[in-house]
Amino acid sequence: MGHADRELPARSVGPSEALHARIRGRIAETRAPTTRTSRRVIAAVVAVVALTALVTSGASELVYGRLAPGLVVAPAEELRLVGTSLLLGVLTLGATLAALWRGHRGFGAGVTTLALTGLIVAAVYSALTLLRPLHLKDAQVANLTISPWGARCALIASIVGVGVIACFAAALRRAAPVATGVRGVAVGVAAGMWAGVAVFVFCPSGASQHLLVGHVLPLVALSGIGVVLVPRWLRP
Amino acid sequence: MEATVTWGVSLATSRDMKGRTDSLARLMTRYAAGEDDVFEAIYQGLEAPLYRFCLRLTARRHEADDLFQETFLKMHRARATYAPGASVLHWAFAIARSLYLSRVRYWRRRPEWLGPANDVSELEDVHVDAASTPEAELIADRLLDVVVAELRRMSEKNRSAYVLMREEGLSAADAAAVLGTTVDGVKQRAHRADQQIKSALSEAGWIGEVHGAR
Repeated sequence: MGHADRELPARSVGPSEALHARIRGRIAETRAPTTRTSRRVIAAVVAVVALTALVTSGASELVYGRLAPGLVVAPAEELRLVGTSLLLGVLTLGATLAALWRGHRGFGAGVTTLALTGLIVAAVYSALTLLRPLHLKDAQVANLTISPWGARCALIASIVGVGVIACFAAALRRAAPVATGVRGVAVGVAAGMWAGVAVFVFCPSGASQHLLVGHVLPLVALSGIGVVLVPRWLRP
Repeated sequence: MEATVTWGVSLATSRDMKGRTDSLARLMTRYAAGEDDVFEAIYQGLEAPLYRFCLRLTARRHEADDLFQETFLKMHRARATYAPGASVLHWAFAIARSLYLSRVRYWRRRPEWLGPANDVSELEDVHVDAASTPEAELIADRLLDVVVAELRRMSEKNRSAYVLMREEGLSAADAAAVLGTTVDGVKQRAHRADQQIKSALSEAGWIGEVHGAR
């Protein structure tokens, strides 16, 4: 056997018995939860659906005195409403799956999948929202003029988005030892999409600046919150 | 004939390793469900490769001890997040590296910390099992000093890729999953590490002798 085939030095060393005893002692005195991540993920998704429905319907009733004013369109636009709703659903589902999927190795979705999903979802949602709005620029519901800067929508998106981030971060607590930064972005984008669904249902506005500030910027802000705050929750 | 024997042995070793991996996965699934008494068996199954990995990351025994201990504690706290059927060792590697990176980030924010030693003095008491003669052992130790010193000098990303793929025998896909990167990325890092070690051995005048020995 040549010298190059020899093992490197660390191969023959191991932890001492004292270290083993110390670890045993520390573990005996440390409590660890046993609720499986899969159960926490299911609970989080149920909570997110309930939160989104509750905030959207509550805000719609409170502000406009009716449910889902954003889903009321001219008869000629009904087919487009169905298509847009379906696409929004697919984007939200895709972003949520990418953020929460555990994978067969238990490390979650790969970095390429996470990064691509985040980019595609954010780009398609922005284009869908800004390029050809479903509603009129000067829409009015219940004699209320809609804010040109989308303050109400931004507030609703923030409440839903932060709630979703909290639910998903709690579900994935200590569950992601690798690529936590990009996983944090994925959680933020998923939260942004749920917020997007909420304002889509709530808001009948078609003005560009309103849609940019109230509907699209929250997704960007939530992605930022995801990358800054979420990783430390995800690390074991 | 020799090839047949080698093939048979490697097949048996591969089956043995697969059996141990599956057995550890079953134990970890029970541990995740709250069966604390299987911890010792999990510890026995992980201690050697995990300690080696910690030693490679930190290069100092006392830091490796700390990292090893913290890794087990984190595994304990995060046991409910273990995905049934996944490789426990790879999961442990990923947790150890995540912890190590957190420590490096912490140290970087504190200038009073001097950083890990760039020498191999603390590893000098570690010897190679397979040395057959004192002369061979001496030559191997010198060669290994060069390799280990070079491992300490290289970036953490290249070192981790090298250790997982070349020392621990992980596939590129498994190493990429443990390091949270792409398969191409991890291959590139391991290749860069190979090149760096090769050039260090060459500078130290070893390459000719190593090739001659083969």
